[in-house]
Amino acid sequence: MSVLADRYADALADVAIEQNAVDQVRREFADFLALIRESPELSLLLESPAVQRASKRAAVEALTARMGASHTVRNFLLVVVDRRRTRLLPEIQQSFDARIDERQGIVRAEVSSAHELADGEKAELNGALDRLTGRRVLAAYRLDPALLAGTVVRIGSTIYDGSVRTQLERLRGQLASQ
Amino acid sequence: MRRGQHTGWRYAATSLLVLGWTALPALAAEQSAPDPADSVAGLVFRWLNFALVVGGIVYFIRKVGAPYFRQNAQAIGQSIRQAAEERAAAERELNEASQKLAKINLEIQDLRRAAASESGAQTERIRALARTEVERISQAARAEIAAAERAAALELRGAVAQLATEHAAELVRARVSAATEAGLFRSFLSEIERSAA
Repeated sequence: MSVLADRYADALADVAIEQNAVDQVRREFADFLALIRESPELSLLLESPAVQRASKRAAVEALTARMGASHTVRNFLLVVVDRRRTRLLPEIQQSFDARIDERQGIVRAEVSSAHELADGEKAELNGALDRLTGRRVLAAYRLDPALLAGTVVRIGSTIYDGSVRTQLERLRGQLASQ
Repeated sequence: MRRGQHTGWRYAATSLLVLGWTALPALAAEQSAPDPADSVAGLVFRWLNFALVVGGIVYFIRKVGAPYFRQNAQAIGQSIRQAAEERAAAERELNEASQKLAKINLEIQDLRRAAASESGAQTERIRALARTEVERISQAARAEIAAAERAAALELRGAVAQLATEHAAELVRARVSAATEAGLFRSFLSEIERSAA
């Protein structure tokens, strides 16, 4: 991630936290980026140096108005357009999410399991992960039948693997090396 | 030398011709009789004439023949000495050649011995090299066979392990139940809790 993207993300995070509108800003920002990703014409319009700045501003204003976006997000996007940094928007979003999580003491975790976990199990696991990291863990759950059985948790670059697939792989390695 | 001989013969022939001419009047007078030469005075003159002729001849021979024969003798002696020297030189060369021939035979024998010795050493070296090469190839072959055995064993173990784990995975898929899954989750949760503590 570039230093430039981090600077824009820091500025947006400061405003969002100050206005106590972190979730709203995060959601509106993500919606706007989804629009850009889904529309190559819009992406071209905002990134092309051949298009005048006034036209880009008009497009952003029209879109944010139609989305019902807050003034914070609208103004931020206009600043990005004025500075010709539209191409950095995806990076800014990633950096913004990471900074917000960091400031709010949130850790994101990805939990994979061979079978659907019950709500009680998810709550227990969330509690255990909170205690493990010392921060609030936001876990994203998904099914992975290739695990055969058991659960795998990934937090950043750390993986906690309780799957049968991995245990069988270890067993296979031990058998092959004997 | 040949020219000196011809000159001597020419002098001798000229002397005999002069002697014949001087004797002819006496012979012609002998056939007419009575000849005053038969008198005492004639006899004296005849003897005197004879003495003159003989003296001339002796003088001529001593004047011309002696240097000729002396020169001839010297030339012959020179030739004899030269021939002797040449003969001695030839004998020396013969001796040297004989000695060289004898040495050549010795050298040939030495060369033959050296060649035989060198051939033997070369043969021994080639044999040693061949033995070394055979040993090296044998070692390489043994190492290759051992490596192939290890690789084959490793591959076999890998295949067996793969089959075993695949079979185990099928068993797990077929037999895992909600209770088993719950047990696994509890176990995993305990591990997380232990890590947190």
